[in-house]
Amino acid sequence: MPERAHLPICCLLLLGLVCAIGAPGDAARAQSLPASSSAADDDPYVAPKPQAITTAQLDDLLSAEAPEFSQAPQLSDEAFLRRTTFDLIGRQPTVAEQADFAADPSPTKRTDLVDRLLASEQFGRNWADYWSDVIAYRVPPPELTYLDYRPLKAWLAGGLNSGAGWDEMVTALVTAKGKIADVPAATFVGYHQADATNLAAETSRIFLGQQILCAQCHDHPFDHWQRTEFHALAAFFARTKAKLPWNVGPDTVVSAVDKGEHVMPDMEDPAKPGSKMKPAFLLHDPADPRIGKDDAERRTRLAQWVTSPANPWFAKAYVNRVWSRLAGRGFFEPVDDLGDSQVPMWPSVHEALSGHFTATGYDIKDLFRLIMHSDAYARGLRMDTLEDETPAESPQPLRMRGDEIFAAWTVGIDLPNKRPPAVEPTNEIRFPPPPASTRDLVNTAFGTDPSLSTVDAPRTMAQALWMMNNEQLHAQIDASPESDTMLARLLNEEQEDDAACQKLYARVLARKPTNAELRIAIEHVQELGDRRAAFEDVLWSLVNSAEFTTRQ
Amino acid sequence: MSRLHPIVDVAVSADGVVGRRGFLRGALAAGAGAMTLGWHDLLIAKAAELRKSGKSMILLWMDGGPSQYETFNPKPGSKYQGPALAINSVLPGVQVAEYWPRTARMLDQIALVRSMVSSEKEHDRAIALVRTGYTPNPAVRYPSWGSVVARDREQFESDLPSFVRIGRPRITTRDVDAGVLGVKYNPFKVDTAGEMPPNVTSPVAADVVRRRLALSRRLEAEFASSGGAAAVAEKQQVYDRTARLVLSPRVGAFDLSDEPEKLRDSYGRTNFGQGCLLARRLIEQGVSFVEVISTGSVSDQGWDTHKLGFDQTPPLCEEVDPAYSTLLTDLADRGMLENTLVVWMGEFGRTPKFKSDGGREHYAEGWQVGLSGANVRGGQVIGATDRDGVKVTDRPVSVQDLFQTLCRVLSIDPHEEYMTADRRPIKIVEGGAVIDELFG
Repeated sequence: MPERAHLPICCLLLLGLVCAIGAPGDAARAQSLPASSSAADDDPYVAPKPQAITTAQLDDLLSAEAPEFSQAPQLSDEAFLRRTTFDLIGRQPTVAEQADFAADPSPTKRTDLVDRLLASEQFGRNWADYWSDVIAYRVPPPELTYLDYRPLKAWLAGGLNSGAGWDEMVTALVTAKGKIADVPAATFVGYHQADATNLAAETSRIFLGQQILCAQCHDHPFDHWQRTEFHALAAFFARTKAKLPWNVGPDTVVSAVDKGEHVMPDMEDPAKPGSKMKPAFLLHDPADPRIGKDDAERRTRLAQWVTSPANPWFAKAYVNRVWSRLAGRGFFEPVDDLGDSQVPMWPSVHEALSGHFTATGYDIKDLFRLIMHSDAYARGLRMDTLEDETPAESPQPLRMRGDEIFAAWTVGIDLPNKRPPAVEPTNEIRFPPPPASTRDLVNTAFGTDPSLSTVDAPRTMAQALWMMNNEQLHAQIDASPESDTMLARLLNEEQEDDAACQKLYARVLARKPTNAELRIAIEHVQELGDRRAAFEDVLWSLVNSAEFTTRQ
Repeated sequence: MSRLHPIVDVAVSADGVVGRRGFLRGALAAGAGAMTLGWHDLLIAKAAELRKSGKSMILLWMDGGPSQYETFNPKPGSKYQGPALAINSVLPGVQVAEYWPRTARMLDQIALVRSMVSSEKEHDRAIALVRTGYTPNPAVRYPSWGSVVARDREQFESDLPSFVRIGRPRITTRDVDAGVLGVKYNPFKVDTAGEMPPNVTSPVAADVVRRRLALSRRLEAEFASSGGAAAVAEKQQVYDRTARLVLSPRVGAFDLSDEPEKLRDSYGRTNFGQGCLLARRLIEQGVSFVEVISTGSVSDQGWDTHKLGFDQTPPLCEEVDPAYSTLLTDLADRGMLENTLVVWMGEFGRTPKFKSDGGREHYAEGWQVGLSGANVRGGQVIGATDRDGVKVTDRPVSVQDLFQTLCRVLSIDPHEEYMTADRRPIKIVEGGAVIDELFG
C-alpha cells in the first residue's frame, strides 16, 4: 500500500518571494502550441522533432556528451546479463539463464537477449509495476476503501506486452469510464475520486513532467504557470464523477455528470463564489469554444492534446523516466520535473530520443531496443555515478523497487508469496483490512515512490529488520536437510565448499564471487567448523548485502 | 552501551525529507549547508540541558472523539445527559460519569481541562490539528507531536526507539506521521501490547546475529570498493542502529510476561490496558514518547459513537478507566510520575444532542484534556461549560495553548524552528499561550 502522497512544499516558501518580485513574464512564451519545428533545441515549448534515429546515431550523441563511456571497457557477459535482466524484467537472471548466456557463442547474443526479454511476458509485468507505483504513490488514500492496483497492473502489462503505443495507453487512462474491475484503465481517474485539481496536477506531472500544482493557489514562482492555466486544465475533469464503495477498491465506478463547471476559488476572499473555468490547455492556449460540455468529449480532447506529437513534453517525460531506470538517473531529476527552471543533463540525447519516440508512434519496446542495443549501454552507461551535483550529498546509486526486491528473493531463495485468507466485513467490523501477501509486506517495507530521487528515499530500519529477521525469509536460509530449501539442496549436491559458494553467489547476486570474497567465505566455513551454519551465515550476508538491493 | 545513536528510523541524509526539488538544491546549496550546520550544532549544545529536564510523555489517545457526558463532564439534570449517572470524585464538587469509578479516585492527580475549543470537527482535520498543533495545510505535512519530541531528544543515545506507538488507529489514512521531519522520526509501532512487532525478534541467537553481521561487513568491503561505497555506508549505518535494537537486552521491555499478574489485571486485560503497562515499562527504559491508542474491542466505531452510543460508550470507558488510573498509580509508586507527563484526550468531543440510540455527533467545543505528572498540579479543573454542556463559559483553551503547555512541560522551546528539506523554517508551535494555572 503506498504511503501518503507527498506534496511539494516549495510553494509556500517561495510564495513570499514571488509576491515581492512578481512572476516572470511570459512575453517570450509561445501563445499556443507551435506546430512541431526544428527550431531551437533549447526552447522548452517546442516539441522534439519527430525523427527516428539509429543506435549508431545515439552512440555518436552519447560519445559527444560523455566521452568517458565510449572509452569504457565493455561490460562482462555476466554483468551485461544481470543488468539487462533487471532493467527489462525486474529480477536477476536465474542460474540456468546465466549458464545459457555464457555458453551462447553467437556474436549477437547481447542484442538477442534484449529482444528476447522484450518479447517475454515478464517485461510488461515488470514495467506495469513501475507505472502502477508512479500513479499509486500520489493517490490520497480514501478513508473507507482499500485500493487494489492488481487490475491496473494486469491491464498495463497487457498493453506493454502487446505493443500498445504510450499515447494509446495514456489516452485510455485519462478517458476511461466504468467500473475499475471491468475497465482497469479507470483506476487513475477513479482512485483520484475524479478530483479535478488532483487530476490536473497528476496528469501534468506524470505524463508531461510539468509540476503545476503550485499554480493551484498562486502563479508558479519559477516555471511560469499561472493559476488560470491550472484551473483551466482542471476544467477538463469538471464533469467527471467517481463513486467509491466501502472496502473494495476495484468496485469504484467512474461516470459523468451533465452539468457543473470547475470553479477557481477566489484566494483573496474564499467566501466569494470564485470563477467558473472553461477548459483550456496549458501554455495559455485560448479556451476553445468548440470544446463542449460533454465529459467524454472533454477528456478525449485533453488526451489528444497530451499525447499530440506537437506537445512539447509528452515524449520527453516518458523518455526521461525510462532513461532514469536504464541509466541510473534521468536527464531531468527528479524525473517528474521537466520545468524550464531545471537544467537537464545531456539535452541533445534527450531531445533525439524523444524525437525518435514520437516518430515511431510512441513505440515503447522500440525505445528500449534503441537504447539497450547501443554501445554505451554495453559499456555500462551509468549517469548516477558520474556526476556530483551537490557536494554535500554523496551520490547514491539507484535502488531496486519493492517489486524487484521481492522478485529477487523469489529467484534467489525461493521466497514464497503467501496470502492469508480475507476477512469478510460484519456489522461490528465494517472495514477489515485486506490480507497482506508476502509481496505486499515487502512492498510496504521496501517500496518507494518511483518519482523520488534516491537521496529522497533513504534506507530504513523497517527494511533492515525485514532482511535480518523476517520469519519467512529466514525459513529460506535454513540449511537443515528437512527444510528442503534451496540452500539445503545445494549443500547436499555440492560437497566442495568452493563450488557451493560459487553457486550461492550465482543464485543470489547473479555473479561469481571475487577471489577475496571466496577466501573470506571459505575461511568462515573452516573456522566455524559447522558447514551448514557457516553457509547459512554466508547466504544471510548475501541477502542482507547493500549490493542485493542496489541496481547496478 | 552504545553512544550517541538514537534508535529512530534512519536516513543517511541529514534531513531524510522527501519532496525536495533539484532547483532549490542548486539555488540554495551554499546557504543551506551553513544553516544545517548551525541547527545541528545548536541541538548538540542543547542536548545536555534537555537531558537534565528528563521529562517523557505518554499520550492516551481516545480515537474517534470521546463524549464529555459519558466521561469527565457529566451534566446531571440536563436534557442532554442521557442515562449515564454522575458520581463524586475525590475532589469536592467535581463529578465524573459513573463508568469511571477508579479514575474518580485519582482526580487529585489529574488537571482536567473542560473547555477545549477548536474549529475542526471532521476527523481527519481534527486529528491533524490536535496531533500536530497546526491547522492542516495540503502543502505541508506537519509532524506528529511524538516525532517532534523524538527529534528534540535526538542526541540521547538509546538502543530503544524514541517514539513508540501502541495500538492501531481506527482508520489509518487519518493518521499523522513524522511528515516533513522525515521517516526517521516515525513511530515504532506495536500493534498488540505484549507481542513484539514483526521482524524485531531475531530467529537466531544473539551470537549468531553478531557472527553474521561481522561476516557480512567483511564480504561487503568488495562491493564497496567497486563503486558501491555510498550504498554500503548508508546500509551500514542503518544496520548498526537496527542491530543495537535487535540485540539490546532492553527489548525485554516489550515483553510483559514478567509483570505481576495482579498488576496486569489491574491495568485490565485489554490491548489498551496492557498497552498502558507497556508504556510505563518503555518510559522506565528511557523512551521519550509513547502513545497508546484506545479504539475499544466492541466495534471499529471506537470512540466515534454515532451509533448505539448508550450501549457502546460504557464498555469503552470501562476499558480505559482501570488502565488510566492504574497507570497513574503505578508511575507514582515508582517515583516516575514527576518526570512523566500523562495526557488523556481525543480529537474532539461529542454533541449535546443525541439520537434515540444514544449516538452523538462530532463537537469541537467544550471537549476535554486530562494532564498529570511532570510538575503539573493535579486535582484541579480548568474551564467550564454551561449547565447543558453546549457552550464554554469559562477559560476557553485552544489547541495551540495546549501545545505551548506541552513545550513548557517537556522543556522544548516553542519558538525553535525546524527546517524542511526546502529550507523552510517552521516553528515548533505557532501561537497560543501556556495554560499557567497548571503550574500554580
